[in-house]
Amino acid sequence: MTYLLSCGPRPAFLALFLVLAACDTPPPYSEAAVQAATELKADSIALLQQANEPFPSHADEAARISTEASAEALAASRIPGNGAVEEQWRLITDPDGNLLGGTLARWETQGTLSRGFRDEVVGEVAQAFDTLICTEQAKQAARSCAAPAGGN
Amino acid sequence: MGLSDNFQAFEDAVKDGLSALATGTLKSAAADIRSDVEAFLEASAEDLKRRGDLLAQGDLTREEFEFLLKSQADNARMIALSQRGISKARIGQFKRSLTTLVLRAAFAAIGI
Repeated sequence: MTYLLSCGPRPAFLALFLVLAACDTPPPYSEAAVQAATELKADSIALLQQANEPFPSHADEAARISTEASAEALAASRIPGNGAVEEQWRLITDPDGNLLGGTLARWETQGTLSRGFRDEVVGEVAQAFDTLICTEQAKQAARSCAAPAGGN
Repeated sequence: MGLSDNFQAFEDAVKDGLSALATGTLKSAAADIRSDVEAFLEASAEDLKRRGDLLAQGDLTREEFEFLLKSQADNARMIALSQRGISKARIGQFKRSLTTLVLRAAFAAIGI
């Protein structure tokens, strides 16, 4: 009892220390997340380059990519302190947005995408994935992620 | 007339629009948006010129041009997120302001 009383404040200090340490600790780097994003980028570009063809011919692949991207977004949202990556996945997958999700939705609505638009939007989608991958990798190197080169 | 032929007039029109944006907006927020949009214009000039020319030639529709402009804005948000410290409210306001100002100036510069 005497011991507990004399040590009373220490658990409080320890708890405070742990809370402060948690605030400063970046979310953990995930090699699996980088791998998944890299594969999704390649698959997305390959798919969008075929958007001169009617969407129904590619609906299964579009659904697979959307499902996998949503799963990655959900996984990112479950990591404490991972708000930046979570929001980046939301921007990429949002069907009402203007990156992968929005482009797939547009293709589905319009049937096909024009060559000029397709060539340009592929670069934007690729850049979005590059930025997300860079953000994930920056956790490991404890560095900031500047604009990735070669977006378009 | 393509956008690259008239890019200076386009840039000037966007910057004039930014000045007008200060009206009815918190001064600090207006300054943030101004610096965000100016940085965007600098980083995106080549893409904007090329796409403006495609628009003028009829290889992009106005709607496609607008979609791509918003894609660029989303990519600017992606980069801002990776650098942290930027609020969701600020990046939301950035996209709205950018879309309004740049579209108006680009269509005027191209004459459509």
